[in-house]
Amino acid sequence: MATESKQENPKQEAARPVILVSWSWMLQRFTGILLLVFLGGHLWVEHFMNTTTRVVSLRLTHWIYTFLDISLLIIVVYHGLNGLRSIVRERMIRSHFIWIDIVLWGIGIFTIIWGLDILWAFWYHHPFFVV
Amino acid sequence: MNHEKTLGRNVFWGHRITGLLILGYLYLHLVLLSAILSPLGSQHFNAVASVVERPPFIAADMVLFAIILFHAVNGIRLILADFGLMIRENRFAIWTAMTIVAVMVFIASLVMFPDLLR
Amino acid sequence: MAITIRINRNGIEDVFQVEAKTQQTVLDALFYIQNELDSSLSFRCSCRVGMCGSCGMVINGKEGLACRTSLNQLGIDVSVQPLRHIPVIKDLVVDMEGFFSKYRSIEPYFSPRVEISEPIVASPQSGIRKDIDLGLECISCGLCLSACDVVSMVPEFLGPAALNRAYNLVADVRDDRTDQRLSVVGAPRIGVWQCHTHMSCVEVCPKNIAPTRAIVNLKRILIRRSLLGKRHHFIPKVHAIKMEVD
Repeated sequence: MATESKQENPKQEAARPVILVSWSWMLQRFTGILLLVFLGGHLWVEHFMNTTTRVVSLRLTHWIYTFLDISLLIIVVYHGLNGLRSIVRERMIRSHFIWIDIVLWGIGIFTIIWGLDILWAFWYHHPFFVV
Repeated sequence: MNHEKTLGRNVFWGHRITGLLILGYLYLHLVLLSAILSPLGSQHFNAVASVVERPPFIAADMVLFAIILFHAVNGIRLILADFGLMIRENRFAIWTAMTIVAVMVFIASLVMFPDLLR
Repeated sequence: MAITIRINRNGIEDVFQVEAKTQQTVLDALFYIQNELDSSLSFRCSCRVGMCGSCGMVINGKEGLACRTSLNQLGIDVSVQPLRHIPVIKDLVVDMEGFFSKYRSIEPYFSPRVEISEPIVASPQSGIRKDIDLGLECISCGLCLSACDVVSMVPEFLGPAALNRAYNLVADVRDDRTDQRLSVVGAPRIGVWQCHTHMSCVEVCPKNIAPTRAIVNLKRILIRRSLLGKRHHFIPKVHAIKMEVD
């Protein structure tokens, strides 16, 4: 009878290679599925519920709508810029990858702050940065 | 050198281009919101709102909706493929996805332009 | 009636007229051209029945084996080109070294676990060969690498054939070099994460293999192993084989 194979072979453990997983690939799928829910909800709310100025302003001072909009903002910025990153990386050499990441993180954080500033305007009646 | 483009490749480029267009629209959306929320723009809020509700803008909205829907439905197809589904039936899956997009855009345009039903 | 065959010979198009016959393949037409019209025409072939994978070329813009492509269904104007993404040596003969060096990098041979001294009984009911059987027929003709548009964007991408072979070995419970293979196929740019699931390879494969299926399965194996640890790789199959061995 065959012997049971040992899972923890010490020689193999020492030279255990790194198993590489593309987190950006996984998060792209994950945020894509979330976007189906969040963006679908966003479109539904903005087109089938009351869209007069006063009601939209009131709705965005409710914490649920604020929370949904902030989540949508973060997810959509990640999904969009991560997609752009994978497009750009295909046309770049490897030594430039770090610069793509730095630039795109900068753009992403700037966009999220900008979006938060717009949502801030509904709570405090004026945006923080934009004049 | 001519090379026949497979259906999957054409849809892939459609997915990329619509993705970039949606990313561009995100910034347009933020710019417009900032503009009407700033103290200078807020007095024109109602004027802007009445312009945006005119038929050409609604038609542009429908184009945007079609772009987002194409990206979303094709994205679902790609995620199904990542789970090993609809790989051999790839062409059928793509045509089904395109049909779903067309039908949903048609329904949405009936909702946005109720006059068409009369 | 004559069929026009336009052959791309090192970038220059040569036009030949071939008499239309019933039951004629593209390879038959190439032989006719070589024997009767231009003896300097070069192309590869061996078995003529679609099992050696030598005569892969781009016929009317689509990859196919010349010996398995009927000339009569292609119309009266047929273009024949060498495979894409592979250096051309002469006319329709390509240098397959790049294709096979990609193949070699995933160690495409079976290396058994030393601990198992007896042959493992793989009964049909256990299903442990089910996934592997779907991808075993590969004849390494290179059509999938030629059809893959990811290779034209990222030349170092391993391509469908090599990744399909890697999956067959990773899915094999008797195999010992899973870690080494996964570290190659999981690497950025060359590995499975570069695949955009165009599924062009599925459309052109003369053996009806779906390399995309192997690639997405490898992606899921890599994710499962890194999130849940080594033991959780291929849970149902490892259980099946343990029951058989015990």
